[in-house]
Amino acid sequence: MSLAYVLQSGLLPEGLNVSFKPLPGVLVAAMLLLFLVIGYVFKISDTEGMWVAGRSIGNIENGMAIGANWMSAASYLGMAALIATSGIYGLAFVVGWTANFFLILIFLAAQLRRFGKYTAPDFVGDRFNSDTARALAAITTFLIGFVYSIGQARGMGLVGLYIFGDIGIPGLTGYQSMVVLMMTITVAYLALSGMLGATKNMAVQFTILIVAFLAGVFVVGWVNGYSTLLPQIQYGALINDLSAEFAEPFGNFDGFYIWIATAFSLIVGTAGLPHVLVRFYTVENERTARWSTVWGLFFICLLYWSAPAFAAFGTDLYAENIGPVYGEGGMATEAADVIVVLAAQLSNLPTWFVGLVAAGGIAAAIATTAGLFIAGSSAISHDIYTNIVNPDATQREQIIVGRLSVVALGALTTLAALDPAAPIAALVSYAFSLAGSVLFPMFFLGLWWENANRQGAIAGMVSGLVLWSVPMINEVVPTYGLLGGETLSPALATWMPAIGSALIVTPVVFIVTIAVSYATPEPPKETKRIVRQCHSPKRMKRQQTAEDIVTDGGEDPADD
Amino acid sequence: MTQDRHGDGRTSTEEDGAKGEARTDGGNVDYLESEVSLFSPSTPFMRDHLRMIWKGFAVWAVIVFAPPVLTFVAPDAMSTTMPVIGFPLHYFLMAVGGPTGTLLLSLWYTRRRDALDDKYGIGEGSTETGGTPDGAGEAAADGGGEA
Amino acid sequence: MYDNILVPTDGSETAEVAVEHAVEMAKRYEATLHTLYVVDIDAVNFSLGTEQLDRLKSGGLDEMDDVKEGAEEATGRVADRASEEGVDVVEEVRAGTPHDTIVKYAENNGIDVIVMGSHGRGGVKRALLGSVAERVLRTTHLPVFVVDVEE
Repeated sequence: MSLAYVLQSGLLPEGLNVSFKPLPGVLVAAMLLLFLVIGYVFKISDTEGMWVAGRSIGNIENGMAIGANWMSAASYLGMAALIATSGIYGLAFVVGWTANFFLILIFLAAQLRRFGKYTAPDFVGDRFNSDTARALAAITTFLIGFVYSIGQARGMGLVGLYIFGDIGIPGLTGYQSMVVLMMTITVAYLALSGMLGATKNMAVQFTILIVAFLAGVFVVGWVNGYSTLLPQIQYGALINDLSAEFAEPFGNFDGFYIWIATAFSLIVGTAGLPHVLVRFYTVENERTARWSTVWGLFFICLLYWSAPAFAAFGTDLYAENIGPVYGEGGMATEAADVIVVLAAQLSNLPTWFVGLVAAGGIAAAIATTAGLFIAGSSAISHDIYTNIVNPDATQREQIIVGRLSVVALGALTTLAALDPAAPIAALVSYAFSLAGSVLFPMFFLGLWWENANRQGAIAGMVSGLVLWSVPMINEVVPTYGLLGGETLSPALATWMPAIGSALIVTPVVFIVTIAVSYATPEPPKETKRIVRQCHSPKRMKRQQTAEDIVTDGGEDPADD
Repeated sequence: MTQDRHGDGRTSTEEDGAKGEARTDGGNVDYLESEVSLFSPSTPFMRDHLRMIWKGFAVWAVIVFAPPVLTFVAPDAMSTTMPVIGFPLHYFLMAVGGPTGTLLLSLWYTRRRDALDDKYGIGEGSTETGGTPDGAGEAAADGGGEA
Repeated sequence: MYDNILVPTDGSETAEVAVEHAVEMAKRYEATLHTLYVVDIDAVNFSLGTEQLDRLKSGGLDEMDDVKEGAEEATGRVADRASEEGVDVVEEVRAGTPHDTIVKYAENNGIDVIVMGSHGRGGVKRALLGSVAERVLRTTHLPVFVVDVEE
């Protein structure tokens, strides 16, 4: 693709004015400081009355936390990017990333609450009575955190580049320097404070980024005359003025197939994401689990209704001010990834406002990365180290292992993000494919089919991991210059795209798990009763898990 | 599979606490002894619950997958411009219909589920009124170590 | 002189070396022995996930079996040792940052002396990791009796 204009710092178009902007820079710094302060205040609060039920988290607050969890750089930046450049394919993300919550609501939320463990690997390990299964789930969790975060790092890098300019680390481009800086900040933050995931903090994060995003869409719409009160509806009329590519229907079966594959993958992927599902363990009861999901979905919709509007505005502004959007010489993926900020910039809005919108994007990326890294660190520290390697680990050792894992994840992610392999939304989707292929089947079958057993689970997870790797090796690894640098098999890439591989892999994993479970002995009676307890309408005492009720708080399920 | 009578005392308490016309399952369903199955529910509660789930799931599948399928199958019809708001139809159904539909569906399900809970005599709230330690003990009493 | 003696424990061997001294002291001075297990919220954060902190905060320790078990085992061992010697014992579990929580408990419960075990670490390791005993020493005005554990 030949580029008709100069790219600054190797990535972003002139129109985006890459340079150090003090006011937005201050905004971002202030934001991070705010999170730090809240984390500190939360931390030093005493838990003296530990045996007394304190105030628990309400539906709305938990809903906001779910929203914050969800609002990553992919939602904030990446989705608008794809909607702008890839036509209705981008809508697969709008649909996929909202429809997913209904699935969670009806099949998983309440049941998980009743099962009541700590982490995803915990669930897998306990439900299937297997350390091997637990380890597989822990590895998958770590992998998910890694892959998902590459997308976030890219977002941080691009937006950071806009706000802080090229900080010029020797040997690295402007973008790369920014990725290193942003990831260092995130890791340092986590290793020191780690309180970003506390519900109060998440509620604040969510408020900041939704305000930034909504303000962005309303003001851009208003200032350019696209909309007045409801840009989320008023952008419809604008669509007809944009290039046909923005909204044209599927040209061929391939286009249709990849839409379906992607949407499917995103939907089942969500239901397998560890950091999303843990939210349901900690609510007060099942009713809260359900209602906070509904609230969460509402908050998420606030952004998802607005993202296509933002994309439409951005596309129009780009076409007017910079160049053609589609075809040769069209918008590069890097420019598209910051279209939300670009739209504000091109509307000639004051720098501080553009900075606000950009700061929201960074908040989104950092918040999500923090959550993912904690999920990854707990997989290593709790599930692999404490549960398998060293059962007598002291709390101190757990902390050390946890912190080291965070640093390791940070380093790996930074390395992988130095070379922007794909748009943000695509990078993130690979993680969804993984979650949907490996963990979702375990959760679904584990909770809904009492005969799903250890052998089935292990067989399922292994096949999921292997099959997920296939399109990754086929399409993604070559982008790093390995294996010849080109997609190994374009035919495979069409039918089993890395961005939507769960469409193929998830059913296979289901079949494998079910078949192997049938062919091997049934799980112990006690396990079955735990599953039944997850569905029983009989009220559970708040501080009980399904296992407590079944075993009378005594024995542990058999381990292998 | 035996259906034992457990926790009658506890169930009466729940009935007392239930709202209005609490048609419970008669207090003699031992949920721990009743197999959980997506396709053949073994208790009245599960039957009602699953009916809701499948209904919701069907509507959801339509909301999510009908627009792209229709767009593929009938592209010209689907890209007609809507009156007033000016959206191409397929775009509106996906970009607005998708999220909004899911949200409304979720609201519907959650409210129906609350109603179902009330019907079967489950109150909301976090504290138990009856003696749970006994209940848990009873539940475990007939559980053997069958592998 | 000592009516209330506090011996914090985290279940580790280092901590339990101090228990012998604490029990003996309590016996000699006919004091009440307090033992405190602090659920380290950093540990919960990194190994169980930050969401679990919300759970702790709303009093959900009962749900967290392993954590609760670890805590009760640790304080239980101290209590057993104390009972063997006929010493009155108070067991307590709190959550927070270990040294802060220990000091706070001591100051609010009329503790006269804190007895703790510590690794005799030196050099870089000590600079990086420090020890809870050291931090308690620096934070409180109460007497602290430190039992060094040679490795």
